[in-house]
Amino acid sequence: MSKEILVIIPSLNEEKAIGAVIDGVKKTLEGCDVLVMDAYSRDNTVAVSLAHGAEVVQLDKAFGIAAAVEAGILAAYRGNYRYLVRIDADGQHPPSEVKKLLAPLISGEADFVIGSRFLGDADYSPNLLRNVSISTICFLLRVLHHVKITDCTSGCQIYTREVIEFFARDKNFEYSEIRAIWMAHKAGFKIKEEFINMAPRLHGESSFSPMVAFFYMFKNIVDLILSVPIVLKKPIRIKRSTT
Amino acid sequence: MLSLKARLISLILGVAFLALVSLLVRRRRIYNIYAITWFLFSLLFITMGLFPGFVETLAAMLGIYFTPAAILVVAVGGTMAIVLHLSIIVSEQHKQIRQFEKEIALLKKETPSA
Repeated sequence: MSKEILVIIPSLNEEKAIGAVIDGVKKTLEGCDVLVMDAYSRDNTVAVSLAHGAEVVQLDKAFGIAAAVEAGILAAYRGNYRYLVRIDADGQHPPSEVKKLLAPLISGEADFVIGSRFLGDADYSPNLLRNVSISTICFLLRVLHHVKITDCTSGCQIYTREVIEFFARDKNFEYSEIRAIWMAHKAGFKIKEEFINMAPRLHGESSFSPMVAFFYMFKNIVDLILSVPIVLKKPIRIKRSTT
Repeated sequence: MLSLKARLISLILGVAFLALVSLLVRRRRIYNIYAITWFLFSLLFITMGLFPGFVETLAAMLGIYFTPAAILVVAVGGTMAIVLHLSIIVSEQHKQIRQFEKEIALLKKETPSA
C-alpha cells in the first residue's frame, strides 16, 4: 500500500509564514504528509511546524537547499509516496492552488509539473536582475537541452513516483530546480507547466540576497553549459517503469 | 641531447619521489588509491632519466630546441594530471559527506508529539 502525497517545504527562518503554508497544504490535500526541511533556523520555525502537525528534518545550512530537497526525495522514495510536492515556505505560492497542479499528474498527462508565475497574471513580479537571470537560464535550457519552460526557477515542483525513483536512485544527483528539469526531460519524462499565482512576500526577508542570487545564476549557467555532452555522448540510461 | 647531469637529476628526483610516496603510503599518511598519480609521476621521472630518447622525441615533436625544457613540459603536465585527480577525489568526498548529512537528517526526523 503506497501512501499518497508527500509535501516538502524547505525553510530557513520562516516562523511567521510557515504555519499558514502547512495549514493551507493540509487543508487542500487531504491525507498528505508534510515534511519541513529546515536548515537549523534561528527562530521558532521548528516549533511552529511541529505545532501545525508537520514532521521536521533538519539539515545544515552549508549543504544548501539542494541537499534538503534531495533528502525529501529520498524520504518520498523510501516512504513509497506516489506524489512529491515541493513548495516554498514563504507562503508566496498559495497552497490552495497546489491541488490544481496535481491534476495533470493524476490524469497521467505529465510526470513533472512546475508551477509557473509567468503563465498568467501573478501578483508578484520579480525585479529586473531576477527577471534577466530567469530568462537567461530559460533561454539556455531551450537552446542546450531543448526543453521549453517559462519559470525554470520556480520553487513549486511536483513529481510522480517514477520521477522520484529516477532522482532517488541516482547516487550522483545533485538537485537544483534547473537541473531537475533537464534531467527529467532527458530521461523522457513529460514536463508540464501550470499557472500558479505568486503573492508578494508577506513576512521577513528572503534568504536569497542579490549576492546569492547572482551566484545561483552563475553556478547554474556554468552547470548548464558544462552538462551539454561534447565528448562521449551517453545514451539515455534510465528506462521508464511501466505502470 | 640530454646531458648526463640532467639525466642523473631526473633519475634521482624520480627515485627520491618514489621513496617518499612509498613511505607515506606505508605510514598510512596517503590512502593508497590517492597515491596512484604520484606513483605514475615519479615513474615518469625515472623513465626520463633512464631513457633520454623519450624526452628527445617529445622535444622534437613539440618543436622544443632546448631538450631539457621538455622535462619541464612533462613535469607541468604531470602536475596538472595530479591536480585534476585531486579535484575528482574532492568531489567524491563532497558527495559522500552530503550523503551522510542526508541520511543523518532523515534519522533525526522530529515528529509532532500528539
